[in-house]
Amino acid sequence: MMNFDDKDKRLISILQENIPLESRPFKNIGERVGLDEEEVVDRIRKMSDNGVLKRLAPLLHHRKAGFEANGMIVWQVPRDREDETGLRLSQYDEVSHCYLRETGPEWKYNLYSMVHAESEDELEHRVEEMAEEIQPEDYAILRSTEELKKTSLKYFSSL
Amino acid sequence: MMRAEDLSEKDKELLTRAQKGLPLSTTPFEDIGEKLDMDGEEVVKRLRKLKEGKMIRRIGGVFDSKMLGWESTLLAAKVPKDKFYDVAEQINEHPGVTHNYRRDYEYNLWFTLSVGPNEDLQGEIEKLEKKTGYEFLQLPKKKKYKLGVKLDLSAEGDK
Repeated sequence: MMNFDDKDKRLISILQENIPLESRPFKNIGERVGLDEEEVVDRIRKMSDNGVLKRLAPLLHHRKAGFEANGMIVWQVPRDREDETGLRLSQYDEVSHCYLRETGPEWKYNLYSMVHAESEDELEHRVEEMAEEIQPEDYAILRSTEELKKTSLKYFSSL
Repeated sequence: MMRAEDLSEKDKELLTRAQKGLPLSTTPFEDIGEKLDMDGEEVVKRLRKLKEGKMIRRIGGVFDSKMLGWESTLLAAKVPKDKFYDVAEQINEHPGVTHNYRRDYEYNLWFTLSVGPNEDLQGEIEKLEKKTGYEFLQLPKKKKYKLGVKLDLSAEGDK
């Protein structure tokens, strides 16, 4: 793990929220952290160079007009076809997320994809088409019926 | 509430470009505007409007949580109907639980648990198992093939 000083941590805790929408946003942030504008930009660039900061960008509300139904599809795919299948699934526009996860004695599914569709019927239909193409050993559609919690991680927010 | 269809061509161009990352300079809005034939003021004004219209959720940093020392996993539990909300509540009390969904499956409770630097993920899982009285499926991520969608709002991305 990398080392961050208190100013980095404070900077991260601010950047994970919103940067001010004004012509010199880092001047304002610098005042809150105790750095001048140039130092803020330097630190941000360093974080970007070493990959800690993936990007500084607007994030959109994920709501595609008309896409009402969604499901987490878990797929059981032979080990030697994991990557090929994961990449293939990722190419579908309807798939927003695709991951490979550990399996266990009670759980055989290794690939996960979030699939979005206009209706429940359409979702099933699209998933069948995907299954046809990737030929999994087995799969299941796990629909979410209730959101019980949804928050984002807060980094260094206690500072 | 704004929808993707309500966006002007200029807004789409701006969002498509900005989603890839703002320039890391003292004047990020002015700099991104240069390529779009807008001045910084116009960029700020448009972004403000998009944020007020709830098209944009947040304008800020996206971090690599692993590099910041955070560790997380997906967990699933099989909980009988009559205990479901009690268990969900016990789980949600944990500040490291960021997402929790009920799903129509044998494993009906699906949640993510994250812990920060110097915290022990396995230890926290065991504590939660003890607290709820249920054993969880542990499904840590091995690989990401696709993570979220950056909406391509440029003309050719419209379908």
